[in-house]
Amino acid sequence: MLFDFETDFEKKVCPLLDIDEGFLKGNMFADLYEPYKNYKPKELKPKTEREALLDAIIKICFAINDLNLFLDLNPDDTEVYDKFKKYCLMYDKCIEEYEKKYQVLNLTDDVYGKYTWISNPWPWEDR
Amino acid sequence: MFKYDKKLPYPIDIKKKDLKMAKYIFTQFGGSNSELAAALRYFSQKFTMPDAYGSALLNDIATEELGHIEMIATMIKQLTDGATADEMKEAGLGDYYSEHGIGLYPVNASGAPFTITFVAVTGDVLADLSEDMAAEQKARAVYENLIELADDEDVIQPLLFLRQREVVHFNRFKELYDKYKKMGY
Repeated sequence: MLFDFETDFEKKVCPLLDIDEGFLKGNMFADLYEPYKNYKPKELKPKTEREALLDAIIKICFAINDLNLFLDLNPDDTEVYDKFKKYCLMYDKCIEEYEKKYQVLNLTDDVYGKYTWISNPWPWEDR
Repeated sequence: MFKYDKKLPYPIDIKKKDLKMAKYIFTQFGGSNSELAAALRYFSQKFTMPDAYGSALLNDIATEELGHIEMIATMIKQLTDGATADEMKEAGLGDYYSEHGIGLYPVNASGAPFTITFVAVTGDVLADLSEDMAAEQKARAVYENLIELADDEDVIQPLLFLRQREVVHFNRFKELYDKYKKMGY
């Protein structure tokens, strides 16, 4: 065995938030959320269908990333792993749809007959 | 190896030019508790973590921080879009403008350039993780200061998001620290 995963962390009960609430609160674990004073996080307000799909991708990507950090330390947590796997599949589907309809997000997906990687917008440009 | 995605971890859409706010936010681009410092800190420390847990966590948080650098830089870019020399001067960014124009150079809010001495790597796992935990707490405090200084929701919302990520990272580093401590490091 390459890595020893026997030494387990103390099992904690970590209720998982759904993707929308998790993204809104900046973490997927209900017990890790620490609000700041009376500041309230607000839902994203996409103005177009394109923005709405990109926001959905961003949210799923966030969920995957946050579960990724948890799983790094708790690789045997099957409940979180199942969620992680589900979100990865959702992510691939949304990316495929977005890239077909609008713009390639990843260089190696640029396979639609001509080189479009250099096309705008870049993430720092106006939405 | 990294694979670049043409998207941010959290969308930035700032319509109102605000050079004073840009000056403050610069501190998370090139200051001592900046996202740039965080990314380089974890990226450097990951090579000497004692097992797979540490390698994975430091690698993956470092990667996330790279995305946060791009978020912060995007905020500055949108806050300063089309700024003139006079406007920069007015906002206390005249000195900055003389060297960098409206280009993005990693400095802190007072204009001091980024330096790698903000980052510590000792090769000692407990010392490195303690540094990481402190860094996350300091970055959280800086985000709270920035939130207090901001008055535009388009600026406040991404700052709230980034602040919460510091909280999460602190907790993950602490879990790892406690585990290593228990293992006798």
